[in-house]
Amino acid sequence: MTQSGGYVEVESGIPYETVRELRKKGHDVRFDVGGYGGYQAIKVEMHDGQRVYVGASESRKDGMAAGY
Amino acid sequence: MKPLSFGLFGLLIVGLRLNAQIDRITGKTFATRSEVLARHGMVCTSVPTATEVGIDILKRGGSAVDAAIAANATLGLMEPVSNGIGGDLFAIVYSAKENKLYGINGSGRSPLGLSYDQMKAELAKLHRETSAHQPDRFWFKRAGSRRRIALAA
Repeated sequence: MTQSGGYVEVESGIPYETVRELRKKGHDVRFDVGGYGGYQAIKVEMHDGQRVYVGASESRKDGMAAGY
Repeated sequence: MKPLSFGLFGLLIVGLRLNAQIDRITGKTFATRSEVLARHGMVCTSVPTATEVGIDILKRGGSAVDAAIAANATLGLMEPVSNGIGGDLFAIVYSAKENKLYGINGSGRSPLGLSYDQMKAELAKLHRETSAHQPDRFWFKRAGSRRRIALAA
């Protein structure tokens, strides 16, 4: 398979089977320290007509989700 | 030497696998923290202090936009490498009063010599009633209902 010149970096949590399959498809798979981004998010759910906020700050960052 | 190298090898394997909380009672093994639930308001940022500032604004009657502005102002101080007045902004804001969604794409370069008045004139050209891009109208006139509180924080 031909490569377009790009490469993909994967985190340590990605199973090696996935890395192997990606390489079989011709992807240039590499590892890196950090640089994988991160997110904070808030979801609104309705429970019996009551609004409930679901907040999260993910483990890649030292962030915090808080509500009241 | 043999038992030692075996021990090191074992440590390496454990080190690779323990990147999450595999012994938690519920949830995905790659997840490390549970989500937070609340009824009245929620703020999530990458710095705990900024989250606290945002929550404080909400508790004092500020809108979600007020809290976001205050949290970002805090982040500009606490985490200036990632946030601040000169940063990019993408937002989707829902106005319950109008039952309308507003979108803003505040990304890209800013010319060094651009004045505030020139910027407002340029933004005015972008205004269309059906457009999602109404940054000036929405953010400067509608959003700052608690601007003084936000700035005080």
